Formats: sequence, structure tokens, C-alpha cells
Amino acid sequence: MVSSISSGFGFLRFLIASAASITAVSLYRIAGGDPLIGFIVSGLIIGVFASRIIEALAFSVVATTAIVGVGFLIGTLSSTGAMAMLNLVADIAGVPLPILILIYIVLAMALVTLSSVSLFYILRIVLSSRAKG
Amino acid sequence: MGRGFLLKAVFPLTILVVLVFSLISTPAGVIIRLMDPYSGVLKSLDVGETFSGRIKLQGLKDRVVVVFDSNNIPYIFAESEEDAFYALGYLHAWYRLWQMDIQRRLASGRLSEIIGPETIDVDRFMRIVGLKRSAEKTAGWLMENHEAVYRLLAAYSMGVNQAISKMKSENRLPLMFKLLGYEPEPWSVADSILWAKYMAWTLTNFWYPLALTYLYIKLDPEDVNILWPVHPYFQDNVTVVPGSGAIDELSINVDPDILRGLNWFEEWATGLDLKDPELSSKLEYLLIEAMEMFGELPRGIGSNNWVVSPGLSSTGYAMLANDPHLPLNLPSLWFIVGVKAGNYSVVGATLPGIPFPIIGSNGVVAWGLTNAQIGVIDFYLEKLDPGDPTRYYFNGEWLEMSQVKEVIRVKGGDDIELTINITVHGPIIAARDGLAISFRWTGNAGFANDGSGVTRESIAAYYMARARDLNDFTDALRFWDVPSQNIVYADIYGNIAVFVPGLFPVRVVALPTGVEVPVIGSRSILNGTGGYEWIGYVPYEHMPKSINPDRGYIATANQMNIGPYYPYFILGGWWDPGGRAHRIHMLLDSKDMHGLEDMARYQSDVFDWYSYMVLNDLIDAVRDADDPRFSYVIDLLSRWDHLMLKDRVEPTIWWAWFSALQDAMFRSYLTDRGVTYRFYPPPSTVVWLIKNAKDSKWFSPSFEDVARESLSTALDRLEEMFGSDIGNWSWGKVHRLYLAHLSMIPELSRGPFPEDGGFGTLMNAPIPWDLDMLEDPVYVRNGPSWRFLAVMSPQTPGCKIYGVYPGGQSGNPVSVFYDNYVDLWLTYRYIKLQCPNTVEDIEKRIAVVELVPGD
Repeated sequence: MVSSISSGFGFLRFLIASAASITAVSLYRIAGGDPLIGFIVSGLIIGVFASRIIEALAFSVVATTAIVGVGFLIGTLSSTGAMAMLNLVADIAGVPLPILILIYIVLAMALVTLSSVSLFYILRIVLSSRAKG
Repeated sequence: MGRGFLLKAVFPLTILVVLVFSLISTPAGVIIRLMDPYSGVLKSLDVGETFSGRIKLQGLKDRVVVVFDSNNIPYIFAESEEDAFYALGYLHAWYRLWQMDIQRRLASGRLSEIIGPETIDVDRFMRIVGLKRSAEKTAGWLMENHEAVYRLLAAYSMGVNQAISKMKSENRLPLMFKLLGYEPEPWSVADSILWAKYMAWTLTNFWYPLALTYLYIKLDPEDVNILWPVHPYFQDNVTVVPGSGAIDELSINVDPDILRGLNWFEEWATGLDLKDPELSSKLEYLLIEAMEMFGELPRGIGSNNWVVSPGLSSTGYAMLANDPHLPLNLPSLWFIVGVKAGNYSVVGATLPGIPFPIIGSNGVVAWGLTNAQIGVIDFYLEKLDPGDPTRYYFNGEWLEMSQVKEVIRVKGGDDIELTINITVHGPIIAARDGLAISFRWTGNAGFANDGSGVTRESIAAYYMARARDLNDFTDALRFWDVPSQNIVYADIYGNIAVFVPGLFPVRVVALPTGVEVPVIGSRSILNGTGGYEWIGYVPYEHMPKSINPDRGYIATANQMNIGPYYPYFILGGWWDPGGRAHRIHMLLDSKDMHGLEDMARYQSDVFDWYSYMVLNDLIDAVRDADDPRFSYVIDLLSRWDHLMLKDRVEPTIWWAWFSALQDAMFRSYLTDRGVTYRFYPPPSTVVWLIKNAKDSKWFSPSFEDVARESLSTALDRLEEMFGSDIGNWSWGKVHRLYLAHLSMIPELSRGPFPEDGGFGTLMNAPIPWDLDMLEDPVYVRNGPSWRFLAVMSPQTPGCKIYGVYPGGQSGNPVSVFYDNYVDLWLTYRYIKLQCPNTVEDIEKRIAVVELVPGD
């Protein structure tokens, strides 16, 4: 897995992108920031570092999993209010709690991916227009 | 870029977006919406949680400080009243926005927009009643005629709207908005008035005249007058206002006993020959249609309050107690708050949606409310033009009905177009066979009786809280229009008083003798073709009242307000059967001095007056029966102290016995005569019959037989339900409280809790007298919605004011403040309220918020 990532995507960029995005989001969350903004910031950082679209997508998935794992599952879910709210929604909707969390992770991943891919393309457009200029 | 770009990124992203949006409207989509990190439920975690810090708010004129104590009660300190009410609006919305919105929707007939077809009937009815039309006219009138109060209402609305804007822009609307998938519209002054109107409507929409007309058609007239007497039995000595009812030299112009004995359904009183077979057969269906629109009569809507003078108070100061019995839901109807802005200083209970405290104290005076129960709604039988049913006959001519067209929007369904027909009396609620029923209600008739719907209680509520003495308070009540209330008063000067303000419509009725008598309310539907109209309202100077009565206390529990010699004969008095009123009098007469602890004990009193009155008669009747179970039961009940405690079995047996007794007395009598509704007389009638008419037809073949048969039935039913071991029949198994969330979602509700009390106890917790509810439980859903005690000592801070309600300040179900008062309430404990002069006076503070003007 690691070797395929390192050979296919540029391992160093992957490490820097992931570390930067996770650090930024963690610091932001510790400061009391909104998880949503955190996800978007994370995506933007990845977008800066990715050199190919496939990298942007792959980095987003890995980074989101890490962010959600660290930031959400440990951080947010340890808050009694969040767990109580999720349990409540699970009860009202009749959906098991793990499914709800999974939906949240997938949606968060979509946000990170959307923002990273968006920035990736914006940067490419900007850079290519500069190169042409 | 080119084709590769499209294939690699834009196309998949488009597919993703389309997929997500197509899912949104499906059940899976709802879950996705709720879990959406951008705007899902986790964004709303801290809405309704207490917070500290500084908030910039547009429209605020000056800095406002809000200090929260450990019970999450906010104390607002502002330079101006406008800013104070702005802050209150912000806080109400922060803690209770969805409740405010759903209440507004309920009152204006707009539930179906967000719920669906299930609520169309409710919406249709509320549109016909037209509270929104009256509220809008009242708001307009206030703006033009009472700018001072209008400005405060507008400031409150601005505060609500600031909170709405903030929550919307941050995607932090409360959970229920996200569950139902909608957003609130801006708040307006008319919305605050609308909720006040709705409260007034629920407290005064007594449709007993329809029910009694129906019964009169079906039953013998004499029976109707015995079972549902004009004035209830046993109440002349416990009226709200002590004495005969005469005001100075002015009293009713005919002997009240003669008036009570008349048949008020006859043509001389109603303009209708209700026993005419043709009319009665048409009317029966019309009445049923109208009654079904109104739905169930309020069960347990009532209240207690009393005031004790310093001479009877061991504190040396006047004391006041109040507990309004209203629907018990989560979030609660009430929100506790303290407000200090210049001379305006008050602590008490507010209704989210309305800025002015309803029950409370300003440190100088305290006040509390119970419902007056006087008929302020009359029903009219309209004669329609056979050729054009939009025309009706009135005062000798055919008139066009005015029409209001409305559209009910329905979630997941087609819009419903509604045409509301309105006569000079009011809106039509049922029509068929050339006849229609309309009603005239004071809240729609307005203080000028012009049908405008303009009422002024918001002015009264504002000035009551500003009152510095009895005169100020009395003046404020000039504006109290709806709902008519028994308002008790106590002040730091040692005064106690009760006032019964409100719009009381007067009609003049010519008796068969030709004598004309002014009456309030009606017992029956009235002829709508003219001659039975309201001529105006009882003038303010004739408002029933009592100030510092000799006996040293005043007690009200929805009983008869004033003695029968009152200059206006109260024909529509839909009073409580009187058990609570008698009990308060027993308690307040029981000792020379009463302390604050006594006041609290009386509020939690569960003594049942009805069993106290008749249990010995019933026991004597069955003592010689040969049922082997009876002796043990008789032994238990003979030693019972009439306390309806949840862990005792005697209350269960008493309730079951009295229920079975009523069935034995009335079920077949009513069904044999085609009465399809379970209209039983009030329990005070049953008590009166037991005490005064044991040999009457109501106990057939004999009182002893009916008592034996009903006890046997009761024991059979209890055995079926709980087994033969009587020790397992504790009252708490039958009598349980359920605090339903306003959405009725079980996960957001609390209970059921085994509960003390019963139908007629001061700690009011009614369930029906109906054995069928053993199999199909009916929970207690009404009761003391707010317990309030005040000792009127002049010390502030350090005042002795207490309150509690079954709920919590926050509407956020995951907040610790969502239900933290429930246990206090269930165990009869109170929260100490504070009367601060400055911010520093607040004890046990948990948070301080600074609201500052900003963009």
C-alpha cells in the first residue's frame, strides 16, 4: 500500500499534504473552530499539494479518514452533547448509530474531496494561464 | 483542460451532486440532511445551551448584560426597556425557537405546511376561528393607539429575528427544524399577539352551550337542569369574591333562586323551539358537526391561586401562591426570567413568544392568575337563504356574509382553498339544511364589540408588572380583555386582593314574566336572526373584586367567581365542580397562621374532596353486601385519609368505584336516549345526588344496589388488570404523567411517571372517570404547569420568591437544561428566584453574556 502510494503519487507530497491538513484542522478544532470549515481548509491544503487529480482524490480520502478518526471520533464524539444528539437522531430515525457516523464520514469526505479538487483545478488554471502569459 | 478534464472531474462531480440532491427528498435523504457536516444536526448542538461572552446585535441601542444563575434562569440588565425586551426576544428564540414557531403555526392554522395532511382539520378550524386576523388587527391598533407598548413588542420581535438570522446564517437552527426540513419565517408583533390570543382562546372556548343544547334535545328538560344546574352545587359559600355578589347597592333585579330554577332553553330565552321535532332533528346533526370541530372539551384546564394577608401569615407579610393547570409538555409553556431596566424590574414566568411576564413579582407587588370560566362565547343558529346560502337573515333582512378566502398549503399534498363565511356574529363553523352555526367570542369581537378582534391585554400585562401599588395595578386591569381571569394580588404594604377582569358580554333577556334581566353567557344555542345580541360588556366599575376581605385570605380554583346577587346573572358559568375550592378553604381555615412551607404544602396537597364528601355514604350502602371482597376493601377505605398518593391502593379503588358508579347512573340513561357522546354530569352533581336524592331515579333500583353493583364492577376490572392481590393496585399504576414533546416524538418526551393527585385535588392531575382507560391508558397531560410562591417582604435582593415547572429552560433535548426541573417538580421542590438590584446581586451565577450594539 505504502509503496504503491509512494511510487504512484509522490510519497513526500502525500506526507506533507496529509500532515499539514490534519495539523491545520486539529489546531483549528482545538481553538473551537467549526468542523465544517476544518474540512474545507483540509481540502484546500491538499489541493495545493496535489500534482494530479488522482492525488487530490486519494489524499482527500486518506486525510478525511485521519481527520474524522482523530478529530471527530475522538474529539467530537467524546462530547456528551454530540453523542446524545446522534443517539437521539438514531432513535428517532430508526437508523443504527454506526450507520449515522458512516454517513457523516462519507459526507465529510465528499466535502474535503470537493474542496481539494476544486482548488487543484483552480491552481492549474491559474498556473497554466501564467505559463501561457 | 478539454475533454479529459470533463471526464475526470466535472462529469463525476456532477453525477455526485445530482445523486445527493435526488436523495434529499427520500427517507435516506433526510438522514443525509441530518448528518450533513455543513448544516446537519451536529451544527445545532449548542443552540439552546447557555453561553458566555460578548455578542454584537444589530438594532440594540445600548449594552445589555445577561447573568445566568445555576438553574439557567437569565437575569437581564438593560438601560432601557426596549433593550431589555430585545434581549428577552433573543433569549426566548435562542432557547425555544422551534416551540415559538410551532405555536405560531398552530394558532394561525399553518401546521400542514410542515407536517402534512394529518393536521389539515386543525388548520381548517384555526383559520375559521381567525385568531391571526384578530392578532393582525390588534397589532395595527396598538401601533396607532399605544405606541409605547407597541415599541416594546417590536423590540422583542427584533431580538427574536436577530437570533433567527444568526442561527440561519450559521446553519444552526434547532433540531426540530432540521428533522422537519424547514426554516422559520421572521417574527412579528402580530405573532406575539397571536400566541396570547391562542392562550385566551384555549381558556375560553367553552362549547358547553352546544353540548347542553344537544342534551336538551335528547333528554327531559328537568333532567338537564338537575344534572347540569345553572349554577353548580355547593359553591355559594366558596365564591372567589366573598359575599352575596351585590356591588354596593346594586344587585340582580330578580331573586337569583328564581333565575336558577328557570328553563333557559325555552323559546323566551333562546328564540328557538328546541323541542320542535323538525328543528331538533336538523339541529342535532349540525350540533354534532360543530362539536366535532371543537374537539374534546378541555380536561383539567384550571388553576389554583390564593393570597394570605399579613394577619394570617407567620412571615408577617402577605403571601401569594399560584399554580396554573395547563397542558404539560416539553418544552414547557413557561420560561422563567428576571428583567431589570430602569424602573421596570420583574421576575416571573413568561410565555415564549410573548415578552411580558404573565405571573410574577416586581418586588413591590406580586400577581397570579386562574381562569375565570365565565362564558364569553355564544353560539348562534343562522337562517340561510335557500336560494343563496351566502345570505342569512338578520333583523328582518337578508344580509350577505362577508367572506375570507384562505389557502392551506399541505406538505406532500395539494393546496386546499378555504372560504370562511362570517355573519354579524362571527364565523360559520357548520352549515346544512338551510341552517348554520356561528359563534361570537370576545377575542374576535374586540374591546369595542365591533368585530374587529382588537384586544388590549398586552397593555395590561405590561402595566401590571410596572405597578407600584394597588391603584396602579387596578388601573392596569382596565385593559385586560381576554382571557377573563381571577387575578390575585399581594403587595409589600400588606394588601391582598382579587380581581376578575375581562370582557364579559351582556345580553338582556326578557323573562316569561316580562321582566328584563342582564345576563352573561348562555346555556344554549341562540336564535341568530336578531334579538339575542350582545349589548356591550360589563363596565370596568362592575368588575368582580375583593380587596383585603375580613377573613384574611382569598382563594380561587376556577369556582364560581361571585355570589348570585351580582347585578348580571351569570348564565354561562363553566366552573370547576368545586372540590379544589373547598379544599383550599379547608386548609386556609385550618389554622390561625400559615407559613411559606404551608403554602408549598398546600400546592402539593392531594386530598380528594369528592371522596371526603360521599365515601361514607357509599361504604354504608355496601356494608351488608355478601361479596367476600368487600369487607377488606371497606376496611381499607374506611381508614383512608382521602389522600391520592401514588403508592397507595385506596385512590385506585375510589377512582374505579366512582367511575363505575357514574357508569351505572348515566350510561344506559344516555345511550337509551340516543346520546352518542360520553357526556356525564360533573362530579359535584353526583355528590349532590348522593347527599340529597338517594331515592331518585338516578339510583335504580336503589342507592344500595347501585353502590354494590358499581363496587363489584370496579373490583372486577381492577382484578382483570392488576390481579387479585389488592396490594398491587397502587394508584401510580393507573395514574401516570406523560410529558410529551410538542412534536409527540417519544424520544424527546419524558415519562410516564407514576403521579400523586387526581381530578379534584389541589395538586391537580386529572384522568377521566372512565374504567376503559385501564386497558387503554390515558396519561395525565395537564396539571400545575408553573408553581409560584411569593412572600411580599420589602427586601430586595433577598426576596422570597419561588417557582418551578415540569421541564427546563432549554428546548434543546440534549441540553442538561432540557428537563432538569422535572424531578424538582415531581418531588414538590422549588427554585429560588432572585430580585437583584444590580448585576453583582445575582447568586450562583454560571454565565454572563454581554450583548452590545453592532452590525
